[in-house]
Amino acid sequence: MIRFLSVSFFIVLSVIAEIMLADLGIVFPLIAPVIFYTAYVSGFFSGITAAVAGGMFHDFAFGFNHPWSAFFLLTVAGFAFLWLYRMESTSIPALMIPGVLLTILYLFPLTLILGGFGLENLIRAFSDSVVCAMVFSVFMPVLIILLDSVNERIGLGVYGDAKERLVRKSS
Amino acid sequence: MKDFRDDDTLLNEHRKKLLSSILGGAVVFAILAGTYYSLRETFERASRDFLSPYLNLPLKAAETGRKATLYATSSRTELASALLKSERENRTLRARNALLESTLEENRKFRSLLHLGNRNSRDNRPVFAEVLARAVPTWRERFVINRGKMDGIAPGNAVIASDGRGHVAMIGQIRSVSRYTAVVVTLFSEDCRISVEIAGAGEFGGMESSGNGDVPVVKYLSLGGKYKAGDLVKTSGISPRTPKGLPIGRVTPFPSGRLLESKDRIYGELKILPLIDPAAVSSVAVCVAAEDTGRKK
Repeated sequence: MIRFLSVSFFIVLSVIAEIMLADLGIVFPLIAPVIFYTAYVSGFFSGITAAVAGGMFHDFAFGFNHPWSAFFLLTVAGFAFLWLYRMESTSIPALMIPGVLLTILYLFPLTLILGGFGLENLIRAFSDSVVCAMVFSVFMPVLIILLDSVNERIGLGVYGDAKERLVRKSS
Repeated sequence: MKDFRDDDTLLNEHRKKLLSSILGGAVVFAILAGTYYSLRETFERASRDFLSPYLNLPLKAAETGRKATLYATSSRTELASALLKSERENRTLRARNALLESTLEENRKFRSLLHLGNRNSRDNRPVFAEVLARAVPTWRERFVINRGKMDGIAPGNAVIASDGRGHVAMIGQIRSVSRYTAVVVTLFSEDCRISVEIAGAGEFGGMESSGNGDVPVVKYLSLGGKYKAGDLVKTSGISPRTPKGLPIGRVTPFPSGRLLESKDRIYGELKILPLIDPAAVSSVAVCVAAEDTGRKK
């Protein structure tokens, strides 16, 4: 229950922050790292559920016709599992890599689907993704530290323990 | 001979399996699609209603900030003179409004005398709203406003905006509503379809955009109409929730230089340049039918 409330709280907070920034014309897809963190720390079921529900919540709040975000957030959750199972390092600076990849998996295709496949939008999607990738490479480790500190206080699993928990569970 | 019969039976069984799996797949798809569409509307309304109080906070904070700045930077005399000025403007506007009301009443009487029905008697009242959420990729095509079903807004209502220099024009229509919010699709969205009249030529057509921020075009126009560049395009009033005569844009030539493009020699198309760019709008007014204006409980 605490995990559900915590995940819901972070998703709602990220969507509100994203809408407020979007009103200023700033593209900052905060929901993607939150879904990555949820899928990595809380496991398969929580990750998939958070991606679908969070994506729908995000897109309907923006007034889109269909929840495309849910689809692309599923790829983010899938990437989080891949990162958990395949990546040996749990160091925080290594998170710069998923920070960059999230924009390729989420922001770039979403901008293309919503804005159309014309050249103008292709350039816009590319430039937004490049800027966002640079920002996310720094922001991602910071966000994980922040989310870890909150989760630690309320007694939930943290990013650093996820790999260890997985090994313990499989053995 | 027996072998051939066995092969036939096997083939029939395969066909039956294939047919049943196709039918089963179609049924599952129909159920999933039905569930998705019914859940989508519920989830859409719930999401936006849940978020609206939080998203309204920055709007309220900005208004409070504007007021505080005004109080801090203006003297009492300046505020008093501004108040007097706005009172004078209010009186002028009230007088103009009374004149328009009497004209409307007169129009109603004439229409009833001529047995023309009461199409124009359907009063529309503006419901003012602020833009609540707007995504960057669809900035020019759609946005969410902070008024909804509780204020009488319904899908199809016309949305108008001002350019700040006294010009008012239609910029889109309502696509969906929740209790406290509504989604506006602008003239640049493929979801926005309006019945319009080309004022100079007296011809009627349907206006729509191909989406992705493309400029709207008026379709299904008579090829023999006398169209001119700069002709005003306004609402025809045929759509039940759109008032008649709202200005929308002006006729402009296509990149090819032609004003009217013929489609299969059956009908013509005109390109329209909207009077107000929806991308620059932060507050709008929704034309709501008078009987719907009262807050619904």
